[in-house]
Amino acid sequence: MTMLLIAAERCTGCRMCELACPLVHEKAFNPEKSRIWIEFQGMPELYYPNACRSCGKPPCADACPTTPKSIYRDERVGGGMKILEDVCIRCGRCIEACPFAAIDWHPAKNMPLVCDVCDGDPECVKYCSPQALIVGGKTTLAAERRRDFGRVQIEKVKEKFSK
Amino acid sequence: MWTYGGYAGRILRLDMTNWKSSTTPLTKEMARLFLGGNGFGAKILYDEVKPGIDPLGPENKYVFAAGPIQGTMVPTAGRSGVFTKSPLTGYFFDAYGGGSFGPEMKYAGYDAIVVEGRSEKPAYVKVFDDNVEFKDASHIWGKSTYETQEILRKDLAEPKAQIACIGPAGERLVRFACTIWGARAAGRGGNGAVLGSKRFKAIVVRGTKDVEVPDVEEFLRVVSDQYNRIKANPGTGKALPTLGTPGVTTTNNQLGILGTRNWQSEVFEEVEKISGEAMRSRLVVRDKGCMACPIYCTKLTYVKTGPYAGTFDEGPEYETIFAFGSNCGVASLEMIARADRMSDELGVDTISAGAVISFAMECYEKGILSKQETDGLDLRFGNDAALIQLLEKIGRREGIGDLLAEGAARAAAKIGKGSELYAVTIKGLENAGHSPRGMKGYCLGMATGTRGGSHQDARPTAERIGKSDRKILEGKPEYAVGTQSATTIQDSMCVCRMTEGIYGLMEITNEHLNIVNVVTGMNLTLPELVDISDRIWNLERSFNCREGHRREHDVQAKRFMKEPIPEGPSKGMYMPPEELEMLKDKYYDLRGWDKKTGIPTKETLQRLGLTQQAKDLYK
Repeated sequence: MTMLLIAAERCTGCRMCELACPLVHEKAFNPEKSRIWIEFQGMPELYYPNACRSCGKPPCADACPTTPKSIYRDERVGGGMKILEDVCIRCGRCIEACPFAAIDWHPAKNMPLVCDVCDGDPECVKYCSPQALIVGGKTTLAAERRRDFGRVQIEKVKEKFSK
Repeated sequence: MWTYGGYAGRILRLDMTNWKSSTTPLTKEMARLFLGGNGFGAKILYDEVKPGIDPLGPENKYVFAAGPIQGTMVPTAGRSGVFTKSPLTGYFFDAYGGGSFGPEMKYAGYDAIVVEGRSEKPAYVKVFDDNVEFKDASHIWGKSTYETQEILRKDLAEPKAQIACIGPAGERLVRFACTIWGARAAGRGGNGAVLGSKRFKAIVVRGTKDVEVPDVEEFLRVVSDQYNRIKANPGTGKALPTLGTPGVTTTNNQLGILGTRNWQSEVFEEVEKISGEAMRSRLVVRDKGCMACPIYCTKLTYVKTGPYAGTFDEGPEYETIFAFGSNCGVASLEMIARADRMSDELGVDTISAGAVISFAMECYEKGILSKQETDGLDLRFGNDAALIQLLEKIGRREGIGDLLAEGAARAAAKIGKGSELYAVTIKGLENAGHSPRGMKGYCLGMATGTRGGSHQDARPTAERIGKSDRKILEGKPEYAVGTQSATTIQDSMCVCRMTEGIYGLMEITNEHLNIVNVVTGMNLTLPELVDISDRIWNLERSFNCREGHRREHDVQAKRFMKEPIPEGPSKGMYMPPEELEMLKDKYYDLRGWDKKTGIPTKETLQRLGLTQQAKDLYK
């Protein structure tokens, strides 16, 4: 299984993922062409990272009206979405259907823009300093999040001791 | 068309007088001779700002500039600089901030943006790629920097736009007002007042263009190698991500070089209350990184209880903790967080603001300022409530705040009565939170530096960590030259100072060279890169000399040349004038400057291709 997984509460908002992604896919730096995003809001700004969840039963593919489906899960690597550029009718139904708002639109190619986990070796993960981006299966994410959660609970117990 | 990687290839000019914009191409020669950031700022200002003009007049110019790496994923490429003739020092001044503003400017297609003239009414400028519009700013004039950004983002329906702006302090021409983008500050030297004098409230930048490098594979090889070393380094991989720069607070105190109560001491007895560890355990809610930064030294803090409850702040970082904390005798991190947030919103430099307040506190305690003169504020060291009130008055130039908004040196000149000793400034700039008395090389580097009281020309780091013995004089002229050279290149690339341990603390290295070459494809050699640094440094020096700067102005703050550190591990250390003069002789030799005047020699200028400067300085 090679999915891109996000432990959002670890993210520092550095946008390294938004730089690495278009570099490997488009050979240029341009967050407009990234398949992973960090949303910023408020002052001082808070931030939230977002990308395709590699759904096991992807709503975007369900919603796609073409035959064959022009957006489909890449089962060779067990994660990420692929686009059939010749078949896609550029309707944007996949964008509407994604429950995580994790599909964008390629400004030059005029085509859905979605994470393909770099065919199994996602570049963004290599530059995620706080390790908010993880690669693996859903159990990997569950284990990582459980570790973070446990750490917080243990800290709370420690605080009680120190009082 | 020439092609070097990294550059956007254009310079945008904003004529505020006529609300007109124009673009000029960035020439290949300019990129190769001045690299970017610091270099571009110095080149444009020397060429276009006449000597003797009022920094707050329409003839002054203000430059936003990025280097070749902005917009790429070279670690810490979020940084960019602003350049102007400082209303505080009267000299060339550069200040830098992180965040995402510089990269966005590059995506919009500009390496630099030059602000000129003076608008009749408050204005802001919208730059969306090639589309530049001047707009009326009357609805945001008077608003804080945070409100300004939120309003403009909403008005223009552009949540991703990067906005640089000034706050009420810049509008009121506070001489140490700064420029704010996001919650980052290009803090020092009063650049915010220069924008205020131009009635330039804000610039909103949004870019959708590519930034390219010549060889993607090679780029990834070099950058991933550096990235991995940053992560493996105990400073950049562990200490800074955990504590941020506040981790230095206890280190400096242990060495007896933590400015305390307006530098009357350099040991703060309550340091553990304002330490990085205390901040992490009590206030930090989240780590934050500037664009492309794996180090995430920024800490988001939230105050839960007490008089400052409800304060949500990006920071404070070390300088702010020193400035409002130990140097004002305040041991409350909660108040420091509040003062930091207020400074950002008002748009003032926290270092200078803290320093004028500590100056006023010492004057008050020594009876030079009466309670009547302080508008009834009981300005004893450690009075946190009074500090907060005074900060607001300074940002708005109310009452005694109007006098202090002129900066410590000018305020002391007006107050007189011996208060000049308590204005701890170098070339008119309030001293940052590193001790010139306790570090000899850094001390010399500041005295000879372009900016004066800044910790960003010469660097204290190598002396603080013991890589160079801070107590001896030997090798210190070389230390000053080496650290100044390294910072000049870092500021021209522009990478953040947090990476200095990776690039090299005391000289320009192959690390600088490899990154510059892999981004630009210039194929420079190390001596060529050193020449670029020397060229920029001498250009800044020429700017200052043209303004009348001479050898006698390369001095330290009076207190540091007169009063030894009174207690603690660095007890007895100071910089007697004769010692400084001796070091300067050697320093001028190394720099190729005339020992009598302090002006770069004709030969030095000509060697670096600064022929116009040679003509101007040797008429």
